[in-house]
Amino acid sequence: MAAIATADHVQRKFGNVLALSDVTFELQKGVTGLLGANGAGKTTLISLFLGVLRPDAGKLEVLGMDPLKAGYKLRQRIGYAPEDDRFPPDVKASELVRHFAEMRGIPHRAAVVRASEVLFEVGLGEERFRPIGTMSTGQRQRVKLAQALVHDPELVLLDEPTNGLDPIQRDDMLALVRRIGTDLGFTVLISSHLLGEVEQVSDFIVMLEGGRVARSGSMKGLLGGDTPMVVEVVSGAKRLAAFLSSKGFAATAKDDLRLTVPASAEGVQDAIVAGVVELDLEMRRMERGAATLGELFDLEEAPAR
Amino acid sequence: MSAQAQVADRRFQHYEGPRLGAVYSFWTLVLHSILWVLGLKRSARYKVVPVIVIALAYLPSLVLIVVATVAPPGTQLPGYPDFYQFITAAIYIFVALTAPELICPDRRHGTLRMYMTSNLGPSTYIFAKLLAVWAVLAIVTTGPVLIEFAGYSLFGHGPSGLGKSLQTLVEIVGSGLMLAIFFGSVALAISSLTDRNAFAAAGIILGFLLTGAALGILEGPLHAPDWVALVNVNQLPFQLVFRLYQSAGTVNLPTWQMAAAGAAWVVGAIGLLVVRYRAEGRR
Repeated sequence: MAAIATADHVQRKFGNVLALSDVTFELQKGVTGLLGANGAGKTTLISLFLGVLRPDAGKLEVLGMDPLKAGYKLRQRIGYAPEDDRFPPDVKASELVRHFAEMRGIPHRAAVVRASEVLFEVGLGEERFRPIGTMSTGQRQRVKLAQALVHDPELVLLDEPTNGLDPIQRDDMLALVRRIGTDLGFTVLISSHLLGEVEQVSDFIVMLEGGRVARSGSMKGLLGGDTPMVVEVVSGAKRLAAFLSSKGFAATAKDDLRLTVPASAEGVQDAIVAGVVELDLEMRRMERGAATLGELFDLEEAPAR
Repeated sequence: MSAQAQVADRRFQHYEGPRLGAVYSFWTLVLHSILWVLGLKRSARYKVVPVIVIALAYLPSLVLIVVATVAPPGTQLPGYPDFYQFITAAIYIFVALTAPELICPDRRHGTLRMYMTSNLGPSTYIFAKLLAVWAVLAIVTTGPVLIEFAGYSLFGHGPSGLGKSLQTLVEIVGSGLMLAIFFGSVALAISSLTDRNAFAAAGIILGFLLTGAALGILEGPLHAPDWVALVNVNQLPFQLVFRLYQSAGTVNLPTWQMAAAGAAWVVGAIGLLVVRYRAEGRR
């Protein structure tokens, strides 16, 4: 499948601070979670895709174009919702969304119609004529999402769309993002510093750590595939790891409750069961691959949280 | 069910229509900005102040027309370049009101970043705002003098002959646009230094008035060299208006030097804006 966007050994500095270093990945159709702590380089990467920042090294391509050279022809095919949601308080949601549709090349009449449609779609049908200043944070985030979708872009870049939301609003927003990626067929890049959020909505994940891509791939690939066998016991994981090692399996116990062992090794499941019986341990779980991304990162000692 | 009844599909549809370019978005932003600062399509409280200031600027011309109706032909009435002394305060208040409102909220509310990722870039955005501020200021720098001209002409105090009338018309429009471009550009440049309207408005008023007062003292009692008038943003544009009407004014310098200084102020202000917004666009 052709990539929607690619970053090839991209580097960007701000003064002496290295914001992005040797960033390489491909953005596929679907929802991609851009995960990283604050300052990991998420907003910088989004700005590079938008062509408002110039990389110091490396190459970017978005929708088959160079973001720096393509100018508005590329920008009008991208929907962007910035992290900030301090919109002009006296402007009605429908007017703001209509205005930004026009700013991205949609003729006035069509912009008026589409502003209404998209506000209905994000759940603000009844609220669309309300001034933004009277709206809740959740509603403002939806307005921000609406203005990113109104011109029917081929790629939607959402910079921390759940900022400032309470847990219920956050779940609603994530469900909405998931829906625009699946039901409406948009390709979405959603940035977040929360692992659980990315996990909830994404088909793919790009994890940034200190400006570098620490991990990237499909959720299926990350959670299954060559990931290790996870064994959880009530206690005695270290003894079980020693037992497995003595049988020739490279088992690792990070504490006394859980160990990992390569899942592809032949006879590993039988060896684990034999060890549990011989050492008289109480096993709670034996599973190939990690159940969640958090577990995967825990297992691999990745400082994702 | 009525024969006229229709089933409306209000679901989100993918867009198949035309996508217009940067020129369309540029003019849309110009128009939007003009309506925005005049409070049109906004609630009533945003209309009150612009309407009052515009009324203040037009009031002297209406008074002069009344005077023209009673003054016998040949009476010396205030000329067109002299008219600006009656509305200088209104121009300053209007520019301090409109220029910050055109650009400060976009930075304060984060919408600037959305413009920077639309059909417009930093330069097109700021030129749209410049065009808007010039157009809005022309309402108070050109309109009142045009009304004065119409009144004078109607009551026998205007220029004689079609040729002279047309020349005066060109001078009025030229002077008004020149003042709008000068004050609009400098005020927008000052506004680009802050995202708070109040700070920008204070900076504009103080900038024009204090510069005028300080340089006025230098030029007057302290007998500073004539070139000091070239940096007096309070007086230079009005003195250029006199030159445009082929009258001497109070500055003892060649017209080309004054025009070059005025142009330098405008170019400098636009340069500052472009530099500022290129940097803002890359934040």
